Amino acid sequence: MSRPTFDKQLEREKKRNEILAKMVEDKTRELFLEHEELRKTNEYLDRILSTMVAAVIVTDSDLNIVKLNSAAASLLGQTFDDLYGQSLSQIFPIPEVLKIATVGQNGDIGQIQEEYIFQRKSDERRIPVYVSMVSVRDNNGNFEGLIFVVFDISARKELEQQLLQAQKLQAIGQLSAGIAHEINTPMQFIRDNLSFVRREYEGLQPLVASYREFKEKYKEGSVPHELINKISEMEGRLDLDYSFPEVQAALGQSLEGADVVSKIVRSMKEFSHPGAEEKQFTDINKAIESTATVSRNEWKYVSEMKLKLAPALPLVPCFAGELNQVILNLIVNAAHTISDVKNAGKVGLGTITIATSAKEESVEIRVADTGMGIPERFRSKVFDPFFTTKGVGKGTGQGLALAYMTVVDKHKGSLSFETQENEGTTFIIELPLK
Amino acid sequence: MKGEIFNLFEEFIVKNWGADVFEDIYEAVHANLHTKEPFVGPGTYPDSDFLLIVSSATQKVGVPLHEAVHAFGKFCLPKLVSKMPQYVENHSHPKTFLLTIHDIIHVEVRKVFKDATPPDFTYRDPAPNKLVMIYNSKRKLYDFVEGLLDGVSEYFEVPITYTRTVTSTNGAEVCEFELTFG
Repeated sequence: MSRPTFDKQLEREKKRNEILAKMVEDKTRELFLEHEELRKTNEYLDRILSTMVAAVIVTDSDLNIVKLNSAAASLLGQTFDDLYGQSLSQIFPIPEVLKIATVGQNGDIGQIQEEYIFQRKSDERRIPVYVSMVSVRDNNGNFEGLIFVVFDISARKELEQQLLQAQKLQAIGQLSAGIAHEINTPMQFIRDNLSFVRREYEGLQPLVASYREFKEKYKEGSVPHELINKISEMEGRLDLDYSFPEVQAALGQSLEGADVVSKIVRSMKEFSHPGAEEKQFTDINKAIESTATVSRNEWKYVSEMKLKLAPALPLVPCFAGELNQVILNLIVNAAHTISDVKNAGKVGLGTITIATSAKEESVEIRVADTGMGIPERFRSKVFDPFFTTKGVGKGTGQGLALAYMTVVDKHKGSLSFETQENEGTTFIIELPLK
Repeated sequence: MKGEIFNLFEEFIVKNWGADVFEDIYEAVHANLHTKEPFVGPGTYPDSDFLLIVSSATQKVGVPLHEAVHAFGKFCLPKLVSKMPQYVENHSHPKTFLLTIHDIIHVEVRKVFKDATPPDFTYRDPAPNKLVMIYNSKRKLYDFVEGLLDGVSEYFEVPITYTRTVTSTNGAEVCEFELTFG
């Protein structure tokens, strides 16, 4: 390399160094400004998060907590410092959520939008929550973590519970006239029977006194002839051969009547008992029997009730109170449609048949009637809210819509129907066992 | 175009023809260059400056333009590898490496140099020992790409033969390089 070339290259290198130094300065300034911008954005996002009512929880790919807002800390009942870095399974121990979270971690979509009950670690309080979860992935599809948005729905659940109870009491109120009648009939014959038994008992009292006098005289060694005649005369008057079996029958009948009343009262208690917040294992057959009993006055004038309840039916995890309401709605609907058939001129009683059966992973309830059937044009609207074909004051169009919501949305079961015009309709409820 | 390429070209001329020759080339075009100060690696400069220097160089050293650009491409490959070894060393075959150019290497280049405009590559994979690389860049440095491919072949010690077909996609001129390995 010649000297002039060396000098030129040296000069150029010096210049290059100056340019590079300037570039480094510019880059540093640029980075500082970007860092500031990022900090402000983070603060802004933190402010948004802190004002949110919903709890926001963010995990890393190992499902450890990396970010959360004050609503989350409050919901989880711990401080920020305690929560950061903790594993999701420690602070949010909902098995179903953890299962889906792990699925998301392993590469599947892993998404949740569901209601659960969450037991808070700090005070063991059970809190109903609505959980929305999505997994976060980078541009290459690698799992980066999970974002949870969790709503505390205690207040809503409380209101729902109150509404449900109000609906149930409303149903009881509507059924009460019928139930009073159902109770009154046995009470009347119990009263008549008791009057008869008292009368007979009062008649027996002088006879028993004469028997006692007879016993005393006998001990003394001389029974007056008049006493024997008196006893014979009293026995003849009381007609004991007739009276004893009648008293026995009257007592038997009264006991049966008392059983009927007792059953109605027990059924009412079972039907109107406030439901639990969580599903409970329930004897579906017993629930059906209770509901059929309390609604008897709704159907007995138009229909007979056949219960074909499978013995040894497994207990079903369900909200029993809400399910009672569904069965009541179906029974009342069945009675109404059978009544329509009678009004159209058909003679004799119709039939409502309620059958239960166990499937592999579910229990099926079929409520069949011999009513009008559902016309083709109405079939797609049956479960729509406010849809009714009943006359003014007879239906609100809420019964089947609520039944659908209860069975499908709340129990993850299915509600369908089979129908034939002028033959009848069968509603089929399927409730999962898990 | 990034200053890195200008500097590599200077290095290429100096290595093959000496520093004095490069000074003559640079002197000859300096007045016509848009960029008056020296080129630095992170800087971005007009493509026209590069083309002026290259055409001045080919005249000076008496090598046809396409041969010079091809040779420059081959020269660049090991230099570029030494700057980003982590993107090359974990490949044992040129095909898997070439398939990462667009989606990984050029993405990383853009992260480091925000204003970089590397070419677009799309791929067809017709057989295990074949690969079609479709090059799309307004610079149309087809000879440079071929030089790089020769450099890749040498680096991985796997023979690569290729044909190139210039075609048009959506009105834009693209070049398909059909590669056969082994």
